[in-house]
Amino acid sequence: MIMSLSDDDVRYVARLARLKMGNDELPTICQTLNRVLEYVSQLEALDTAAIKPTMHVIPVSAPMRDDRVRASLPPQEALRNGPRVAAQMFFVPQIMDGEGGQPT
Amino acid sequence: MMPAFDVIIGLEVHVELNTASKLFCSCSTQFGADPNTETCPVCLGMPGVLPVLNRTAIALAVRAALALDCQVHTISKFDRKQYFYPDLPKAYQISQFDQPLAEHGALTMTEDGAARRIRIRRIHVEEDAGKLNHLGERLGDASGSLVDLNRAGVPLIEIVSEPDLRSADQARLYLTELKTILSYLDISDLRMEEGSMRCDANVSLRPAGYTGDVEDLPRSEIKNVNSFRNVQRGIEYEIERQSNLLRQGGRIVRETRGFDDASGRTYSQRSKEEAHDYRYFPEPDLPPLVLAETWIDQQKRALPVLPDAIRQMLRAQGIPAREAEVLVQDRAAFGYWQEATSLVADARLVTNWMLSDVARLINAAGQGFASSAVPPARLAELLKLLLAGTISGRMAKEILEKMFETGERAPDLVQSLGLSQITDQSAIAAVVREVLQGNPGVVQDYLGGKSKALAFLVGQVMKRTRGQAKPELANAVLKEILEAEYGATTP
Amino acid sequence: MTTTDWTAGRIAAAVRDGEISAREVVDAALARIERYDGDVGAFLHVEQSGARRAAATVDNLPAAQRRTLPLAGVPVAVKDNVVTRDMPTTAASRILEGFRAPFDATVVARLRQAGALIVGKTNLDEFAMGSSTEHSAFHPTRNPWDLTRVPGGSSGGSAAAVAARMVPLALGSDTGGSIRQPAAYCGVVGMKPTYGRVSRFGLIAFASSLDQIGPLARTVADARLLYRVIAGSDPCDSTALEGDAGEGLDEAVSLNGLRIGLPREYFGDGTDRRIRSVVAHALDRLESSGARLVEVSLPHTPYAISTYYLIAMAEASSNLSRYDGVRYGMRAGGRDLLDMYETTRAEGFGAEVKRRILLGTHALSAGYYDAYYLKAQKVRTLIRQDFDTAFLEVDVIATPTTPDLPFRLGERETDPLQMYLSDIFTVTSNLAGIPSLVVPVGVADGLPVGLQWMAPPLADGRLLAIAELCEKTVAIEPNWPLGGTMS
Repeated sequence: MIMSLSDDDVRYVARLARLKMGNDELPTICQTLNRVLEYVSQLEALDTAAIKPTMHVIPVSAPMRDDRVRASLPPQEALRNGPRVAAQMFFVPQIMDGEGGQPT
Repeated sequence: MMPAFDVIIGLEVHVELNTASKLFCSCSTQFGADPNTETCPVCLGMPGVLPVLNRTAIALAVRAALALDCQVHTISKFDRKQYFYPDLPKAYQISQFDQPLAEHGALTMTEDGAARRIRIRRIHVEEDAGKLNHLGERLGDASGSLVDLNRAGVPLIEIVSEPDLRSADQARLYLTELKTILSYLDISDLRMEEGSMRCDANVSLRPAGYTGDVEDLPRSEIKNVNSFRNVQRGIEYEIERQSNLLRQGGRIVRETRGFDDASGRTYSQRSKEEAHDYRYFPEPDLPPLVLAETWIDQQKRALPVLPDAIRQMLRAQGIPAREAEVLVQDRAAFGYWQEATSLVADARLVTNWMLSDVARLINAAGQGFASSAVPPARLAELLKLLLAGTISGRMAKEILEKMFETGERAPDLVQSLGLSQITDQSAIAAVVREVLQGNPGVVQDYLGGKSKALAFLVGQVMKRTRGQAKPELANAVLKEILEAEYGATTP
Repeated sequence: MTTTDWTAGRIAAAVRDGEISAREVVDAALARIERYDGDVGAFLHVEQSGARRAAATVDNLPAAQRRTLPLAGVPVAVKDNVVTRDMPTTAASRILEGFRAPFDATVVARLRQAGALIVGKTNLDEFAMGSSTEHSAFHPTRNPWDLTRVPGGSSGGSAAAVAARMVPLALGSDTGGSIRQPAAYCGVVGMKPTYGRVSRFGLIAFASSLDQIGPLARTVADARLLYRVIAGSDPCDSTALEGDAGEGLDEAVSLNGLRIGLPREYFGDGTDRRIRSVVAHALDRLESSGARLVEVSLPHTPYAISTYYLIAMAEASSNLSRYDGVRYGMRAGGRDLLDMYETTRAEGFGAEVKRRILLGTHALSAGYYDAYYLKAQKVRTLIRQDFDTAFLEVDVIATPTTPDLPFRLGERETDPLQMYLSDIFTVTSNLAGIPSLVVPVGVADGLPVGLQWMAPPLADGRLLAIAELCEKTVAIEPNWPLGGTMS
């Protein structure tokens, strides 16, 4: 069942997507999103239990390349677009407690 | 006190594959390069880039899966695991979610002499993240972190065990055996200190009488511990912490915990509610990975002999279990052993020399079996001289030390040090006669029945030949002359 | 000599034969851009020096070598969501302002190799999300046929540049109609090839499983010329198809007995009466030239918009996550990392992009994946099967391209859903991965109308051949806007 989004749901999604959202924008956005969600809920009417999803529209398999090293970018090229660079690395502001990431 | 809970442990081990280039682009994977010198538009996650799989990475992953008795799927797929973090350039990691490369494997380890089978749930392929260097001091107007993306895109496999482990000791045994097996495959450097092998441990306690799925028990996920020893310590601490909590009527919550080396404790790494909403979905930029059965078979044939088979072979050659284990766990040692025994048939002799004198000398020199100043062929030369009786055991030890010092070969050292054994009977007989003539009192003692006197006389022969006489021969010649020329009777 | 009125084929032949220089061609193109682009706004960046350098290179080649160049001296405009090494690439977004790619997209590299002169980067709806080119962060583009109207989108800049004869050829990208709808609105030919026929390497991803790069041109022959240069497998794109991309390109086809499918779901009265009338007229002409018109059904068409937007937004939410202010583009905020992320993205993306990111993120978030993304991918299968079935009965399918004629700027900005619904005729080709092409077939009230053709997967060559017949048969002499004639 597709349900409509509450303000809190939209806040949660905005946080997931790292989009700052002011409380003043929230009602309009919430309304627009719900209108679209309401429309797409038409898909519920279709019985797709036995249907396979189309993840790749033309059936092919992943090609594989040889394990050969090619020249990387010169570091000044790699960093050229960096909004802030220090010590040949990209600088980012401090990471607060709980700003998870996922050590792999 | 009877424990009221069963300990349930599952391990997730990440292993960096030692390909030359990254998983999805052709940048080098060389460790330790200057920051951001091994990056390109693809691994920087620039707009418009697309991933292309590295065949060797898949081959190495398949070999690991086969060595761990997994079923390798002919069709698997890649998915995006999404989260924002500065070390993850695309803000998603290309990984494998619900159709991994391989599943249903197992590893057998030995605990107190008994075999124990630990099931492996799955092995999948994914890309590594970059590295963050957190600034201790303030940089300009703000403190922050610096991002180096050299490691971003290096191929990894993640090996996930079933929750079959029941103690911290078992966890360590599992890791040791896993590392031993992988070391034979040549697929990774397996260096925890460089991060090419990393381990997360999931620890939960199952109350007596609990019949539900262990997956549903609340658990701690101890992340990124940097040594096997610390995995063990972290788990021990968690078991203690959780059981205390439960005894005091507390509740365990599912959480990620870090491990503090100094205190030996784990600590909660609070993460925000949405941090685990990874929004996995199939990677549209990569069609399914389809592997031909024949290609998988090819990888199977490329597998080396694995530790279990090696253990059996060593035992068949009469190597005691403990020595065998030392050889197996150090892949370089076993390689050394193999080469040496291909040249000298006496496997036990090779083993004894390797694990005593050679091991002592390479340790002292800060070498390993792979980098030993005396390679296996040179040790074989030495042992051949010993077996032929050209040198004595004592000489061999002396020569081995010289070999380590000078890098010279055993036959040359025998020559230059004049250390070869005198095996010429007439030469020894001449010395024997001199000794007998010079020690009439001792000869009398011997003739009078003091058989110990013979040892003194042998010693004198050895002394006069500066140890070069073959002791058994000196002994025999002494007796012979004492009988023939002094009328001694055999005791 | 007004080379701006020439076809790409004629320019290339003349430059190859040394009749005219590439320099003359590029100067004429740049002059026309200079003269009209202030009104039209087709370009985000005009690369005068680069284009002139490329022209000099072509002119200085030994004649024998120049004769091998299929696009010798042909000015080409590139949609600004395709990366170029020596020009900015913004995808019409603030978040990429100032970005310089250190590499060329595969299609761009192929253009350069073919002797084309890249004169600049064209405007689009931000990240190709939109159908009017009003959602560019920099400025809107106007329809050369009527400057008060939109050129369509998202490849509105490319379509307008071709229609205004600033360039004979342009690259667009098509995720749900973004080449074909502006082609129809601007009265030019636009083609979305079979998914995988053209490399996506260097195309800034919107929805990876739907995106394709394709040609815009004033004639089908020119579109074919550009297609031939850009199509083909690419070791940098795992979804680019192996095999002969040129298959069927030189095949002779005939209208005689050609079975043209008319899906009844595309011929309802939701479509503007004037469009229906122009399309009906074109179909009559084709029928009287020997084609057989066969009614077919694509029964899952009513679900196409929902399916399309769920998939496109989900993929977009993921593809646009990389714009995080760390490695390139703009950065804002910065009390801490989270603040930097959220402020950069809130200020860097426009309203429509944010809307789609939010919906897409929701569609993939915990507990919703099955109901939204997976469901949509299953319905996608049904939509594909509809086409498979239809193509058992017919060789090709013809439909209107849009339900409406080009609308006025600002007219549709208020209601996103209404805007989405107008993509109904074009999104299905992307969902099914099939090639699809729009040919202008008439003018209504001074505004062009395009007929959309769809063919089975991989039949790109055949589709072009059929479209060329259509072009010949339904001979219209469009009154090209902003002065000039076709030659």
